[in-house]
Amino acid sequence: MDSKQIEILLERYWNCTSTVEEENELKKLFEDDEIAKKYPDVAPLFRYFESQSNVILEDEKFEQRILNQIDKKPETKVVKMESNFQNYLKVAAVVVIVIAGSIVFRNGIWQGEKPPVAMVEDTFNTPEEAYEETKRAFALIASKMNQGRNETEKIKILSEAEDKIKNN
Amino acid sequence: MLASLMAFKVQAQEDAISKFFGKYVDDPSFTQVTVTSRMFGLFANLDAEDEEDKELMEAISNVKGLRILAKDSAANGRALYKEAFNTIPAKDYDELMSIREKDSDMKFLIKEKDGVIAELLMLMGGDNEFFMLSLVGEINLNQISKLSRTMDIDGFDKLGKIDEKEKDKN
Repeated sequence: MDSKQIEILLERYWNCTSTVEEENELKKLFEDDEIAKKYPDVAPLFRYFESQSNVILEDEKFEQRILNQIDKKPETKVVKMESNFQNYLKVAAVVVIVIAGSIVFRNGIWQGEKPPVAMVEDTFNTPEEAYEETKRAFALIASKMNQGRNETEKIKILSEAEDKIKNN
Repeated sequence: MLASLMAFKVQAQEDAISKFFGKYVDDPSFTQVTVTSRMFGLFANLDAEDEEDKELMEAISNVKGLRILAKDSAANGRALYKEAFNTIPAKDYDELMSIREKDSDMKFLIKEKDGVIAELLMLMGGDNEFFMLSLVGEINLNQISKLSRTMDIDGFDKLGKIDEKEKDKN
């Protein structure tokens, strides 16, 4: 194989137009030290390819393990979403509790105001009794009020008398 | 239920001395009397037997509520009187009359709303008594004062004394 043919193969390789057979041919060619020396730039590359193709995976389960991990990924994502959903549930539950609590609390305040409500209730059960009490209350108001008025009247009489005296 | 509670609340707020009443309502040493507007409404069904009743009916026709808080033999009567007076929002009430006697002070206060007396408040505090009366609704003072001439005023120990005084004056 002459150098010209190697050049053609390399060119095809770099242009990505080489076939698998041609690439295998190149790998074999560069195994030859003589040829490798002529192409120090590319020879190590093909030698590396060749050497790596012969590497055997000693751990037979390695591939399975990798595949398992890849398969797991979407699973863990689902779990994460579920936990997020649970967090939302927790927040929602807290909101519900706060709202419910505030309603109960406000109702509690209303219940706390019940004594004044009870206070507004009638002391008497029958209108007759209530009427009698009202009557007494009005009598008291009226008499006190008139007592005050009478005092005023007296003052009025006094001042009138005073005026008369002055006028005379 | 809610609406009724609100209504009571409003009623309680309108009646400025409710707070004071509320403080002593559970105290058994106080005499407490409440006549609600519902009860006043029922008075219309009662038969007015005589002139006196007719006059009273007329006087209370627009009254919506009556409350009395009283304490006999109250050594702290004057203190309670002061406390009650201070509880009253001064800007809402006008003093109608003030009577000072040897052993007690008395005040009539009114709350006016649109030219009508909406509340009449009577406060009395003495060396051994306390008396507080609140009348709400539309109050006609002339009608009330007319009553005293005709009304038989028993039931209040104090009133007997007043009667004698009035007789002396006349």
